Order: sequence, then structure tokens, then C-alpha cells
Amino acid sequence: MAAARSVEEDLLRLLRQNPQGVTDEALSAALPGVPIEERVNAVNSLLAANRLQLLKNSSNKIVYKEVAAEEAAKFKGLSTEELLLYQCIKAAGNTGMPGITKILKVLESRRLVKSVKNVNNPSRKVYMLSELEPSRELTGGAWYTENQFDSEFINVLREACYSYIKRKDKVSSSLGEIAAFIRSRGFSKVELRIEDIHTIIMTLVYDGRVDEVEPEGDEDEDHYRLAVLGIPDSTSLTDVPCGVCPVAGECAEGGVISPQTCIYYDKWLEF
Amino acid sequence: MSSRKQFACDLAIRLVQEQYGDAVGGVFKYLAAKGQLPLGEIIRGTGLSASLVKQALLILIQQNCVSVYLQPGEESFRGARPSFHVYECDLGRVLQIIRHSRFLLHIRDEAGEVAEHIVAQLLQDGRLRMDQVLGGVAARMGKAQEEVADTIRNTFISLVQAHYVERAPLCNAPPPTIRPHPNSVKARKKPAGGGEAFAAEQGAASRTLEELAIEKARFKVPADLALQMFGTTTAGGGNAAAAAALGGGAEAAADGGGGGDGATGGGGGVKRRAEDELELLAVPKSAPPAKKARIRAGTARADVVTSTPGAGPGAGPGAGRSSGGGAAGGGAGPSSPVAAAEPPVVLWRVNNDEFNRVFRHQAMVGLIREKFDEDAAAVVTAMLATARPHEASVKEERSVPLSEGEIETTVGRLTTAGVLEALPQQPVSAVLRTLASDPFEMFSLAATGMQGSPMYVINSQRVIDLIMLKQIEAVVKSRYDIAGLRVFRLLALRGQLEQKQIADLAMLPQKDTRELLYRMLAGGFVLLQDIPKSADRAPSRSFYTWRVSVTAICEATAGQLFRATGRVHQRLKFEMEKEKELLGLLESAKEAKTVNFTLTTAQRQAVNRLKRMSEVMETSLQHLDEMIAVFNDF
Repeated sequence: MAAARSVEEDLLRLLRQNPQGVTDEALSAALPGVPIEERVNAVNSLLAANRLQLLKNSSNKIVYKEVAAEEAAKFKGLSTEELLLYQCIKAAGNTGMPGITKILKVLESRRLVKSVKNVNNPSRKVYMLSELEPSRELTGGAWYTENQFDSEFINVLREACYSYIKRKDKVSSSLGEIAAFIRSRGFSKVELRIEDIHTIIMTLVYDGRVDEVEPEGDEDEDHYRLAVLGIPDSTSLTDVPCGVCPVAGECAEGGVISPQTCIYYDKWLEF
Repeated sequence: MSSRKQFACDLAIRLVQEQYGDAVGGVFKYLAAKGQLPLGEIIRGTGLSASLVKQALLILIQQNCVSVYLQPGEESFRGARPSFHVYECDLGRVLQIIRHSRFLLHIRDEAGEVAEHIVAQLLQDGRLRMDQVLGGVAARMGKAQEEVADTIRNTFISLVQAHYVERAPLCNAPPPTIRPHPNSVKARKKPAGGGEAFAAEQGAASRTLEELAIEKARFKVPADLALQMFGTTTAGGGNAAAAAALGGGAEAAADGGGGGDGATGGGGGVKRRAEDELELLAVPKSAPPAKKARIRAGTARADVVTSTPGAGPGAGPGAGRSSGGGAAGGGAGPSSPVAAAEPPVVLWRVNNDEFNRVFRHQAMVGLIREKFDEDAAAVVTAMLATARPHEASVKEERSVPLSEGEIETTVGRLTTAGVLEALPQQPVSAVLRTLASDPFEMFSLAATGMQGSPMYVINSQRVIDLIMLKQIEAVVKSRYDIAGLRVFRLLALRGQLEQKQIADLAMLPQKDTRELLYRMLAGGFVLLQDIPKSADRAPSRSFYTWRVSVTAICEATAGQLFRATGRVHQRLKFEMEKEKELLGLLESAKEAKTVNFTLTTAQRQAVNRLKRMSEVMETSLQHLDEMIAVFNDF
């Protein structure tokens, strides 16, 4: 550790002596006893701490310059991308650089980069090279087509799973079977992982159309079959207007809302 | 926020008011609000005249809407304080009024037309003596009393033995102790022996012995009735001594032997007082009960021996005993400790509990049939039939353990009796094993019996829970669509979840999920809990989780059912009131028996509309009552 620090100190002293910058070759020449690994490490840590900056000189060689203390403070916390951009603007000097957005537009028109909307936060855009596929987090996964929640697609999948389970009737189907079936039918261009199929089937369970069955024996996959106890479409309570009334709490005899004047009753009793 | 009890009270008061009029309704309302009250306080509280209150009370007692108890007198330093009668409204029985037609339908299917007539007569008049039953039913059947007396009597006895009909409790049982809710009492140490508190506790415990005595007598067929069945000629009077002895032998004298004797004396005393209080002025509605009370008093008068109205009849054994059962009281002397003798008059009434028990079993078997298959339903019917004699109350949580052998014999018995359709396909033991392995734990395997055969227990409460859960899910589906149902079941199966997790698992768009959750929160179906990350509950720094509590929702729905029934009832009354004139016109036409009377087309339309509307509403009331039964009485 002490050795590394001394390497860093040496580097900094060297840079201070040469305010116009020190090339990489000059560094290795000035510190003969230091192996290249250690030197590289020292350079990297100084870079990260913003004690020195990396520049390219006119002959395209890498040049290191020390960063004055105040300047270091200014740059603290900036990300690499921001620093890079800063350097570009600095290099432009007095003439400055054309607008950033304009640059992006030019690149986009030349089809070099594309913008991808984040599904969780549609107002943020992310730019990447045109050839790349955006990662799963950005697009939301299989359920989002063009960043829209694809209910149609999901419904199709649900119904397919349901009909498969229904066809198997008394025998329960395992998760693996259903997944294989869905994949074989080629419903989706995107590859559906087994967790996705599981989520789809669970929505059927929550709808009360499919039951989850504990597997017997050694299998540890869940099995599914048609629900035995259907949920009735209506109950005596909901057949009466009071059962589905949004203002049931405010209804009282003689009040503004009362059973005698209730409009829902009027509608119910209109024959 | 009104509670279930409050909605139930409102509905009960409405029902009483509709059936028996405003004055009676007023008295009932006051009693429902105040609990157990003596007569004087009722008169003061309702502000009605004493005679009106008395008549109203008589009607209510006659119709079993109000129970009467005798608060025994106490010895105190100032001298013996007299006992007095206390009145308490019986909400449970009043709420069963809507279910009466279901009772009749069931009894007709099970026991035939004569039984239906008997039950109908009892439901109409509340409580009746045997001879009144005979007269009324004969009139209903349109035949002369002599021809049908025997059939009626036979059917009647079988109804009593099946527990559909019970004895009306006497008016001098002590009032049930009002026990404070366990939450309101700080945990207290058991009072030391010998102290006053200890004595009070012991007293409360022993009082229930008298309740036990009443319970034992509830379904006893009186000896003279049984004798009549077997062909003895005299009706009670001459054979009274033999009857009393038989009666004494037939009834196991409980420790309340003294209580029993005191009861008869008290019974006579009460009825005499009722007669004293009764005015000869007969208000039309109260005429029948008033007359009956006088008849009651009239027959009792001959039997009463020594009790004076003022003295506490229950005061101590030995004092003022009248060996009841007959004027020939000399036969069974006052020193005989055995004879818990028959009260002079026995009144009978319908036992709602038995009907509700039957309906409960039907609902349970229905669920099993849906969830499993017909065989399972048959086996469960047999199990319930086997366990029935041991059920102490309607709302049993679980049954007694039943061995496989018993169940098999009952299955066989029921199949031959024609109750079950056909022999089950699978053997009974296999069906039982399938039932017991169901994850909802509706049946459990209890200990293994003596010969190594397994014993099973029905967890009735779990079965009812499942029925209620299905109903609740249906309510959620109707109110909040399939998305709401999905969220509800998701939370019920997975516990506490954050909004984002809910949206992901249910595969619903985030915006929709948020709206739906808040709507369901307003409806009381989900609960929201904040879990703060920081010391202050800043919303940006807290987790918000959602969950459902099925028990809470069941309670809430039970209350909502009463409320909805009340409102349907109100609306029906209102609609009838609107067309009062038209109805009056029809009534007068019917009475005058005119066949042709002109109605304008508007009136005709109005009549049709009224008819359809009242049909719809009455059927709704019946359907609602079915659901009320599931949520409240089962």
C-alpha cells in the first residue's frame, strides 16, 4: 500500500513539474523501477479521484495532466459520460460546440443511434446504437409491445392455457407441460420463460377458473386443473340495488337519498 | 358506522310493526333498545297507556317475539323483596318471520300435509294448547274435528319427537344472566371461597341448572297426551293422579325438583295475574290472545292452591307447593320429592332451531356435492344424520367423532329408507379418506377408534366458511368485475402486497390497479396498512401494503344483508302505500263479491305493475333471507 501511494506521489510530482502534460512514454521513462501494472493502477486511482486528467495531444498520444484542487472539486460526482462531454466542449475552446440535441438528431437521421423509451418512466429516453437490442428492463419484458401493455397478447395466452387445461379434464397438467404446449404453438415471437407462463397461469387461478393442485409423490412442479367450485355470477345481495349501490352508506329514511326515492330502485322496478 | 346488530334490530322492528301494528311495534322498539325491563318501566318509557302496553305485551308474548322471565325475590334487610316479571325481546325469533314460508315448504316435503297444517297454525298463532291445535288444524283441513283428531294427534307427536315443535317456556324461569363481554372485564382473580362474589358466581352457575331443567322438558310429550294415544278414555281430570304419577315417573326429576314444583305454582300465579291485569276491552287485533289468556287463566284457576299474587312463588321449596297436574293434588303429596309434575297447561310452539339445523345440513351437503361428487354428498348426509343427536346448538363448530362403522350403517339405513338415492359407487372408507385429505380441512381424521377403524370429525364451521367465501367472491365479482375478483383472490392467497406487486402478479395495468384498489378500500373489501421507513410517517418514505381479511368481510356482509332487506321492505311498503286507494278498491270489490267492476286502463296497468313489483320484491326478500341464513344463523 505504501508502495502504491509512493508511486502515485511520484506521478503527481512528475506532473507538477510538467504542467503542459506528460505522455505515457515519459511516465514509464521517469519511473523505471515501477512495473507497468503498478503504474497503471496508480494512474487509474488518480483518475478516479480526479487528481489527474486524461487527454489526447495533437499527435494522438495519451497525455496526463494534473488537476488543480479546485478543479477537482468542481468535477466531483460527475459521471464518466459527463466528464467526456466536458472534455469535448473544452476542446472546442472559444468557438464552442454545436447543440447536443442537434448532434443526436444528426446521428439519429443517419441511423447510427436510436432512442428507446423506458417503460416504467416514459418521459425518459435512452440512446443506444441502432444495432443493439434494448435490455429487458427497458422494454418491460414479453408483456410490452412498443412499450404498451399488451393486454390482447396476454389474453390470447391465457385463453390458450385455459383451453389446454380444460381439455385435460380430470387429469391435472403440470407447469412444464403447459409451457411446452405454449411454446410449440408459437404464440409469441419473444421467448417466454417459464416464470412468465407461471404468471399467466396464476392469473387464471386468481380468476377462479383454474385450481392449483399440490403434486403428489416426488414431483415438485405445481399442477393445475379446472376449478371445481365455480363462482356464481350473482348473489341475492347483488341482485338487489342495495347490494351494488355506491352510496349505500348515506341512504336513510327521510333523507336526500332514501329507499323511497332511490333512482336505482326506480330503474329496477321499471317493467 | 352501524353494526350488524343494529341493522338486525331495525329490520326486526320493521317486521313487528308490519305484522302487528304501530302500538305493538312501539313497545317492541322500546324493549329492543333497552334490554330486560319490568312492566312499569315499559309503560313509563313508551308513554303509552298501561292497558295498551299490557295488550301489546300479550300479543308479543303470544307470538314469541318477547320472552318473559321471573326475577326471583330476594331476602334483604328491609324484608323480602317481591319477585317481578321481566320482559325481553327475542330478536332471533322475530327475524325468522321471513323464513316461515321456507319452513312450511320443508315440513310439507318431509312430513306431509297434515304436518304442514299444524306448523302453519302454530306459526300463525304463536303458541297454542293441544286442543286449540286440533281445532285450528281441523278447520284448515275443512273437516270435522272428530274425524281427524287422531291423525292430527299422531302427526303432532311425531313432530314433537322430531323436535320441530317444542314446549313454550314457562313464564317464571329466571332471566338469563347478562354476562359482560369478556373484553370489557379486566382479568380478575377467582374470588376467594366464602366471599360474596364467590357466592354470586356459584349462584349464577346454579341458576343454569334451572335452565337445564327447562331444556329437558322441552320436547316431552305430556303423559296424558300419550295416554290418550293409547286409548284411555278420560281426558286428564279423573286420571290425573295416575297421570301425575306417570308424569313424574316419565320425567326424570332434575335437581330442580323443587324448582319444578315451584314452577307449577308460579305458573298458576302468573296466569292468574294475567287475568287480573286483563281488561275486558278487546281491541280487534288483540282479541284472540286476550281470550286465550283468559281461557288459560280460567282452566288454571281450579288448580291453583295457595300461592298469592304478591308472594314469590319460587321462594324456597316446600312453601306453597301445589302438586300440579290436577285438582286431585291430594294424590301426590307435597312431600314427594320425585314428582316434577306437569304444569297445568302446556303450550306448544314451533322450534326454529331444528328447521335452521336442517337447512344448515342441506347447505353443507350441497357444497360437498358441488366440490366432490354425489357419493361424497351421500356419505356426508349420513355423517350429519349420525351426529345430529349429539349437536347441542345449531352453530356447532365441529361434530363428535364418528367411526367408519357407524357411518356405513347409517348410509345403509338411509338408502333403504329412501332418503339417499342409490348405493354409493365407491366404498365408504375411500370416500372418507378423500374427504379428509382435502386441503380446506373440512373433515379431519380424529383418533383411531377401538377396533382400529378411523374416526372422522366434520369441521362444520369450515364448511360454512367455504360457502361464505364463495358468496363473498361472487359479490366482489359483481361489484368490481373480474379484475376486482382477481385482486381479491390474489390478496387472499398471498397475504400483504404492495401496489406494484399486485399489478405485476395480476397482470393489470398500473393505473387501473391503483384505482381499483382504492375503490375496493372504500367498499370495505381490502385493508391498507402503512409501514413507515422513517420515524415520521412521511408518505414518500413509507411502504403501503394491501391485504384482505375474510372474517371481517363476512361480518360486514352479514350486516349489509340485514340492511338491504330492511330497505327492500321499506320500498315495498312505500309502493303499496302509493297505490293504497287502488288496493282499497280491490279489497272492497272482493268483499262485496262483485265480479264485474270497471277499472280504467290506467288502473288496470297500475294493478298489473303492482302485482309484478310485489312479486319481484317478495322473491328478493326470500332470496336475501337464504343468504342471511348462511351468514348469520348457520
